[in-house]
Amino acid sequence: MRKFYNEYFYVPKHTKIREKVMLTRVITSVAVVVFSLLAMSFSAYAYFSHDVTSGFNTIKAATFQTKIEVQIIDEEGAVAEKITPITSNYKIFKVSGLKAGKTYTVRITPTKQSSATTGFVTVTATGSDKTYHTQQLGIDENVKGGKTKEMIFKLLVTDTTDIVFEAHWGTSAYYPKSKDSKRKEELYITQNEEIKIIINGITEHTEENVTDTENTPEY
Amino acid sequence: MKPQAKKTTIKKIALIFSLCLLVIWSLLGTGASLAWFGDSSPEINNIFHFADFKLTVSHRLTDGKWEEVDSGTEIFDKQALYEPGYVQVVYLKVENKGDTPFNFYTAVNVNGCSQATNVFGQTFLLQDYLKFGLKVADTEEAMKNSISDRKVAEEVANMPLHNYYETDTAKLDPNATKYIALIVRMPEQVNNIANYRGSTVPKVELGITVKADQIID
Repeated sequence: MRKFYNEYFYVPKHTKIREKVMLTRVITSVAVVVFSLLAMSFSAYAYFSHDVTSGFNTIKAATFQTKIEVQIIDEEGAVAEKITPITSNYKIFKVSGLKAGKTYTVRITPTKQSSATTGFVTVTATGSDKTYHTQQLGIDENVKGGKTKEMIFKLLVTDTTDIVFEAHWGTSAYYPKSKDSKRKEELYITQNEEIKIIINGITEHTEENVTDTENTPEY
Repeated sequence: MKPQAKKTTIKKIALIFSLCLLVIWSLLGTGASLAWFGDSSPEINNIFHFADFKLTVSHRLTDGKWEEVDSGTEIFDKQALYEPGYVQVVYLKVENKGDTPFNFYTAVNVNGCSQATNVFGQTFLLQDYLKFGLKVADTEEAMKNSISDRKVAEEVANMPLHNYYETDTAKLDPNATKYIALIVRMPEQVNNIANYRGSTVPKVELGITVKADQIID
């Protein structure tokens, strides 16, 4: 420390000030002036800011799920045959072995877990390249009352086939008044409608009613 | 006198004369601009007034009333369930209740998001299928008119819900108010990829912050 002082600050008596010492004094003076100016500005300046936060707004999604019943109803209105669908873990239904010449009654109902306000079900068949859409289940402006609680329609096939039912949330592209120009009325299944699916190009079939019991697996 | 000494003398005289002139001009300038006032007052109170900086944010309730927002306030309807085509609009009122102007901006950030499983057995984040938007207006009437119907709301809310979004700053003078319409929606085009199955409900935790900063001139 003493050495540092002698080197940069000490001026012996009766001697000239060394350049190094002079420079040190000038730099020290300038530094003190700058520091003082800064201190003055900091001490006089006050900065205000404030924020308001709404931290935890929870946004949740709905879900659309249905259950499917496929039956054959006899002329007396009794269930003549019940088809047991096969479901995947994530509940896409497959009904196997539907035969030509029989009229199948399909009933589709949203499950209790279903929380979406509307949705529809697509119907596809092995041997057919067409995808049918049911009318909306839930809110539907086109029905009386504005809401459909369940969907029932009759299904005929022209050859033995498997049918896959898949629930979709949202509005069908085939929905009347839909903005999408892809609406195809012939593929839109409405309440109590009877549809015939052409399988493998075979157009002829014979109609036959058979009785069976009811089965209601979840979709 | 030697010429060298004479030159030195002349220089000295010239220097002294210049200094004298400098002093005379300084005195003249000072004398011409200086005015002397004197007064006395029996009492002098020096009052130091600190600027009042106060930001207030309120959200509009269903009955039309405004409720002040704090950290515990949920401004979005927690009962709402998002599905394709669903749109939710919340209205905020930002007030400068102080006496100093400030700049403010609104920040929207995702504090958390739960992963769920869709119909196809794939995992997904709800955040990826939502859109949001903001609209600022000067009056409550203008704010309502700016989001007049669903179609307009869909046009305004067209930004993906990233982890953080911040608006540009806007100035708010003392006793002035701005209104903000904040929209979050699920587009109609979202298909079964976000239709969940299982017990885990897909959720997004959204944080809304309004921040005001002093204006530095």
